[in-house]
Amino acid sequence: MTLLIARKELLDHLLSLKFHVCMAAMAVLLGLSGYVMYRDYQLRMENYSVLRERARLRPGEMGVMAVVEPRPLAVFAKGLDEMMTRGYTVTAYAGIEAHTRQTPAESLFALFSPPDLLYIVKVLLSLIALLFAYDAVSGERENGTLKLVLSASISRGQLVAGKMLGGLAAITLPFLAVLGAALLALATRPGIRLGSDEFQRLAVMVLAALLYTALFFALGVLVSAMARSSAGALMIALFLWAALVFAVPNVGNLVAEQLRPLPSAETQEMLRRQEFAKNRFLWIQSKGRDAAGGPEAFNREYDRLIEDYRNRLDGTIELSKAICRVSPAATLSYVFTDLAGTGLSEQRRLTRALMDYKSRNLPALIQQGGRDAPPPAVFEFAPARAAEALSGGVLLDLGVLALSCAAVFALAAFRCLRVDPR
Amino acid sequence: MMGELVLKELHDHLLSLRFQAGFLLALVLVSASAFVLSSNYQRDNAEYVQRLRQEDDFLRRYAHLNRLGGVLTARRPPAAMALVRGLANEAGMETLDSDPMLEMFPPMDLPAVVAIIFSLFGIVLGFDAINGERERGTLRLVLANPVRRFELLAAKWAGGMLVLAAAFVAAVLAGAGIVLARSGAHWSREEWLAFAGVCAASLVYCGAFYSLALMFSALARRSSVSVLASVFGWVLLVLVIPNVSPYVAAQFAPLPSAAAMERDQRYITSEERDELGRAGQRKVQEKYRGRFEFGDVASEEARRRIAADPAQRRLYQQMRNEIEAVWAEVNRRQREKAMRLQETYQDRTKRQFELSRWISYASPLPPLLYASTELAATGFESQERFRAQARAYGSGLGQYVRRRYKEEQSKNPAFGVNDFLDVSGRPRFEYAPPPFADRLAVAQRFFAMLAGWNAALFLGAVLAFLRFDVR
Repeated sequence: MTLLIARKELLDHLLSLKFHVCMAAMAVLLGLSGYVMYRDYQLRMENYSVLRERARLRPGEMGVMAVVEPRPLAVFAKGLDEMMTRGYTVTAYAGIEAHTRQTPAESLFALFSPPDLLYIVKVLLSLIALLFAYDAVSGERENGTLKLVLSASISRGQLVAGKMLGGLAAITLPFLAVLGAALLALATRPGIRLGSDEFQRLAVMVLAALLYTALFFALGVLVSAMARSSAGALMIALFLWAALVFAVPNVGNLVAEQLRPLPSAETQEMLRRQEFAKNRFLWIQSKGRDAAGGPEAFNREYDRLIEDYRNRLDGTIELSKAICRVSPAATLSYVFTDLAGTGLSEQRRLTRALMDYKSRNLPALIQQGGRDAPPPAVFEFAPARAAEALSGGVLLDLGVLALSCAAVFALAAFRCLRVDPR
Repeated sequence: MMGELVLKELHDHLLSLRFQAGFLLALVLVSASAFVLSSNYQRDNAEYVQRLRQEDDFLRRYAHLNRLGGVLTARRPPAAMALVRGLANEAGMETLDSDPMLEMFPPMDLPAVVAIIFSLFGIVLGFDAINGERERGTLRLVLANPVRRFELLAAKWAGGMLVLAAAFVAAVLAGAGIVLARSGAHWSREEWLAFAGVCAASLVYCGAFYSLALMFSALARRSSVSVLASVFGWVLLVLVIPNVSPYVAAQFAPLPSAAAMERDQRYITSEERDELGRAGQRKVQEKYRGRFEFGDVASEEARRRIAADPAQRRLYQQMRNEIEAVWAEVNRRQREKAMRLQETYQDRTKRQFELSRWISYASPLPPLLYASTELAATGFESQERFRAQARAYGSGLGQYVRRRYKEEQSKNPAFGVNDFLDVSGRPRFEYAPPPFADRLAVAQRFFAMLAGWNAALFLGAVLAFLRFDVR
């Protein structure tokens, strides 16, 4: 019986104007996003090869340029990739200098995320899920069909389950089809390596996207069962969506900074520059006799400054992540970016790797520029493996998504049981 | 008649669930963002003051000519109108550990709330304005009275906009109150004017979306269709066009690598410069070799002789002047070379920027964002102005430092670039935000665009309604 209702729901949706509009919008936007982000990745790869070339030391040139390769999965979740691949100059005397990032010239739209798959799922798929669900109950009541169906020998539980199954299938099946086509098109394009590792990560991303969509669908059904009219349900659903998708994560991280205040990164940078100038000044004034001065001492102090700040930053980030998890959109972002290797934990790994590199190559960096000094090693940064990413937080976030999804489903089903069909 | 129609619309909206829900959400969001942004402002301000003090402290003890450049940078205090964030206060300073959270979820300020929530509010209020009345059967009733269709639509527009404006003004005044009470910022007359300007831009922006919804409600016979059309139109205009436009522009006008340019610049102005300078210096020293009575000019003996013997002192001075002239020439040439690199890069940036702006005008959101940030003095033009001021300050500071250096040298000929240089009398950077008239002049263009969007969409609504079958 449940399956019969699911089938009826699915067919109902497939024939509706809503379905066609939504799916057309989704297909167009997924295609556009895939193309735009793929081109963006290509441009960044070109930039990367320029940097690789430039990283080779010229005669007498000091410092080593550390270059990080853009991640192919950044096409689907750009995250912090732009920040991570900006290029760094590492020296024994002035520490690690981050270069200007390769970002579009118009930076005011940094307010919105880049139009990647994550964005499409986060914003559009959730909206479509709500649009499909908001009149699931209230609409049938208004049409009078709810009384009719319930007068047949069918339990409310079966009805609810059938409606949810059918509705979800109507959203997710076209989504998977379009995504599959887009992936196929992308995999055949030159210049992007999508191996089995990438596809495994993508599979987990898709799982998260499905959970997220189901969550919003259930939320829509819940609102639909609670509202008196479907117009009212739509209003509530839209505003709820705006609050969950935009407001909570964007206000949440500012709240975290209130609770755990953090000096700005620019102030830290100034402190480090001053430390450098002071160290050189004292060292030259003492004519290099002062054992406490010199590059070793500077690097000790520099590392301490970085370490202290990073620890505080990590604390704030953890708190901020915890607060933002109230919004499924934020949780989804964590899953996507962590899997794509463009997330918060990967950025932390990169900072640590740069610091490690500097410490390990300090003698070579100090001697650099002297005659016959061996050139310092090249900086290599290996991305976290899939298993590492999974255990490093993705599983937790997936769990949060699954749990909240189940909770909202249960709530929605419970509300539907109490609906007055008149 | 018109007045009655407007009044009826007003009542209808004010009593509706959608208005109450939307208003509540808007009020909560504006207040929350004002709350957070005001603390941000407070903190930024405290940090600004503390950093100036820290800089003073540092210079009092360790200032020396050679490494003043990286330490003395101009920065501007946070803008007093904390409600609009806009571009960063420190132009072009990349740091190793900038907060990644802010990059993942950029904070929501007033223009963002307006751009997303209030535009949605406009859609929600208007999507069934016409076809909803048809479905209820009241449209025929109203049109049976001596009312022209245009009048009815204008009344609907006015009523809806009045409600939106009331909700907006209430929310935004709450926000401003929170900012003024919590941040301790003082808004001058200019700030109030700018604030009023931001509010006006926001309302015109909301009007565009309300008109869009009206248009769809007159185009579609059923409200279930017009809601879809309006929501997807909204998605396209608010969520897609603005953030796709920079990426599209980047594909047609790609930028050269910024990091490679910086690395080249650094090479040109340090290692290559040192190489050239040292070569020139050696040449000069070669010329003076054997002309001093004491061999090595750097020895203790030499310092004593230079101080004691006027002829030797003149000779030494002469050599030093020549060496310095060599360095000055090399510095100038290398700086110019580096500047040329920078200029090419900036030209390309400008091209991409302008293309990106043109593409983004396909949505009313960018003009809102541009107008608000320009009015709040955190936009692109203001940042350009700040940069120009910073550059002017930098060159003034450079002159001061060189003058001080010369003064020290005339007292002590052996004074070098690594010796402590007292710069306590240096000029201080005083940021002068653009006067309101200038900001308004820049924002005018964007106001015109927003008004154009409004007019076009409302016209669309009128045309659609004139052909609307009321049965």
